[in-house]
Amino acid sequence: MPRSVLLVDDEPNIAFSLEYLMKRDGYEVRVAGDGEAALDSIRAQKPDLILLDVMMPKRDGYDVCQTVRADPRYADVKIIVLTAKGGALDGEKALALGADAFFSKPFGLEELSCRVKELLAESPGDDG
Amino acid sequence: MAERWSLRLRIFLFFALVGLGGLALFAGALVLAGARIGPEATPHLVLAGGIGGLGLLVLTAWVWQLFDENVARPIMLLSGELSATAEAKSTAARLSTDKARYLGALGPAAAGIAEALGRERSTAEGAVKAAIDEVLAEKAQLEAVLRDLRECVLICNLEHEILLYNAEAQRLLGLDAQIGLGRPLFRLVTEQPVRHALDRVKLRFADGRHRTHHDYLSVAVVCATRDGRLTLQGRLSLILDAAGDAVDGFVLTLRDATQPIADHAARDHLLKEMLEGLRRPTANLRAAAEILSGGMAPDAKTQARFVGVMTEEAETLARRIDRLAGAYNELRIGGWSMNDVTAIALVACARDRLADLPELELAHAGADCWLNCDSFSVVEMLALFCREIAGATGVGRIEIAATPDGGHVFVDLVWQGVPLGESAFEPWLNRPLVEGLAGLTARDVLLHHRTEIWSERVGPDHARLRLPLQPAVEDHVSAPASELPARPEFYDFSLLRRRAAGKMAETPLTELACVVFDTETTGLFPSAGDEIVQIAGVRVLNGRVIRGERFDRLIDPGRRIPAASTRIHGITDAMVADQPDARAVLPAFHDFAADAVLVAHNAPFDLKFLQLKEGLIGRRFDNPVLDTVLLSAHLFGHGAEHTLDALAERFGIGFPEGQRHTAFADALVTAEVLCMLIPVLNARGVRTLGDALAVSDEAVAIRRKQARY
Repeated sequence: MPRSVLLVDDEPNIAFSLEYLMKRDGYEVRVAGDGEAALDSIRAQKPDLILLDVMMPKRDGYDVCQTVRADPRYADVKIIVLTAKGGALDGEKALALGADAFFSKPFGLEELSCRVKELLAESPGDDG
Repeated sequence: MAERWSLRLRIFLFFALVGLGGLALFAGALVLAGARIGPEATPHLVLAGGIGGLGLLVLTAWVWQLFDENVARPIMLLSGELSATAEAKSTAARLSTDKARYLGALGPAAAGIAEALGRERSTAEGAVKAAIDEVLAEKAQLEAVLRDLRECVLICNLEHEILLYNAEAQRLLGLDAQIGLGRPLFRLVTEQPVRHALDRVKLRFADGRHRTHHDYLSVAVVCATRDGRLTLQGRLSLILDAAGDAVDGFVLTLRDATQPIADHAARDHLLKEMLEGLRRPTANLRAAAEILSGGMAPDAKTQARFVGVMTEEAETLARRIDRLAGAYNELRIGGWSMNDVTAIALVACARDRLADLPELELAHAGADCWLNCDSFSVVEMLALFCREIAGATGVGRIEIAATPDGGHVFVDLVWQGVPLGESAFEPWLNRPLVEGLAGLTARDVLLHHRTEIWSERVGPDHARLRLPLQPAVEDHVSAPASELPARPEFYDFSLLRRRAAGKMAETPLTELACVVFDTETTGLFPSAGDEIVQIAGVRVLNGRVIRGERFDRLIDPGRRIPAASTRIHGITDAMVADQPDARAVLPAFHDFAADAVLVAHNAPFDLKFLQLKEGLIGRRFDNPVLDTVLLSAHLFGHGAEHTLDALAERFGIGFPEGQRHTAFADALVTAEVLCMLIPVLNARGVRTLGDALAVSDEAVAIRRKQARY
């Protein structure tokens, strides 16, 4: 069974590229356009990894990250935070709230692809 | 004529007239009686007349004597005492009225007047004393304010001489002790901009335009330190005389604008680079995209080339953005409100803001630590967070700790319980903090400090809200304390009306600017290769030692210091090993002594060392020179002892414990001796520098003659 990736970004242009990339790498991809939708989607079906943009309407990426981490059922879900903020502290905050990695936009797709692969290799997945 | 005679003389003459007149009448009456009776009566008449006349004279003399004793002398005494009371400044005016007991009410009346005068005087004296006390208290407050002001303040007269400077001015401009009372301003800061500002505002005053000008008598000024180290920004304001119709001087307030100006330039540069740097790759990207998407239908090979162009340009853009983001994060957080503050101070202020929540305990935890922030808005924000945390979690105690880590200082609000969700404190961030801050929110404060805030678990049962802030800009831990003495002599307003610089020789000794100095050396023979190992000086201005304006340096003599010399001054080879040499130190001393009279005890000795170095440093020590040995010889005679110890003892001046034969202590004692000598010289008619130089020459001649024998 392919590993599943939840892509959370309200910008369709980057979502389009990332969805394409993740599918190319052989993952099952779901897309959510805001924080609420992302949490609903996670509750409906637990993904192996979340690509999470920070700046979103309703609940932002930090909020989603913290909410997911607060639930022990999702302890093994990997989270990569994507941020367009350029501040030195944004990454620090993401990691403090439980993210496994963070990327500042603009980032290279191949670099992201590698990191996703590495993180998923750390967790064996439900089907072992 | 008769008006100038004393009262007693006039009364004596009056009685004399009565006596002699009575005698004449008596004699006349007897002569008449003798003519009527006949010659046989003559012997009887002469006898009776002699007895009667003598009796009359004795009676008159006796009455005169009583009158003199009890009326004339008491009146003289009383009038003398009255005029003495009027002249005297004493308030204890008591008249000796017992001698005036025969003068009726005059004595008590005079005593009454004197007493009333005394009462009046003591009231006036009390009022004067109170007024002086008040002025002194105000002066002390003003001194404290000036001393601690973080703005550099200089007050100058119209000759651009410094009358006042504060600690910040000394810190900012005081390199190599160039700053000093009575010293030219333009040795510290660039002349043209200040002169221009001064001319502008003087013209405004002369035209009377200041009355309606919104800046009144002040004008903005931007100048630099003379060495170009710092750019200074501030204001220049005129000082008028008491009547307000003439200019006495001006106040210059300056701030170091070097960093803000550099920050501003860096910001501008970054913005320009961003616009220009993004424009080109974006243009390239857009052109390629249009060709690919438009109806131009290039062949497959060309298409592949355009895709290559797009990839390349996209990468260029990404790199450039990363670089700009890095440069932006490097920029200092600007704004006038950023200041260094301690964590403890922040907590104390936040506690004050929470005074209405007595049930909430707010404590500082861990070590204290300096950080840089806009303390006002940060305190408001911390108080808001505490209030909301207490409201949301019900905790009764919050600890605030500040920990430096990496490039930040993390301010943590720690409480027992679980972390706050992002969505829980999001609303707090968007609410206006306080009235009167233009609706400033915590979000705005975070943005201004370029920081984020989050809540996380710490330990098994505690949570914290993390607020990363910038570390302090200045080094508060190892920064040296100001060298100004507790009560610095950093102003002298008598300079305000100093006459236009005349010939130095005509300057009264009491108005002289002197540098009193002393050297310690490797030995006693400058011409035979002995060198200076220590030089120190202190300024004396208007007959006052300015202890804060000192020069004190060790010098590497470039040769060994003989043990015999080390025994005297205590300076060893090791102490001077890494010190600058004479070539570096003496020009600085030359600057320190510029425009001043050089004074030393046995000046020829110290001066010889300096003069031998004139070629080396390319400057001449051509200041007028006074020698306390010669001045003392003139005053106390050539037979007396004129060693520094003898003079210090004569004037009751003590050396600091164990400091005799350090250059600075010796210079300081010589300076104090000089200040004692000046009034004595004045009393002996030696009033100006020229006079002092003349008597010194005489003293030299006499000593030279003495040396012959």
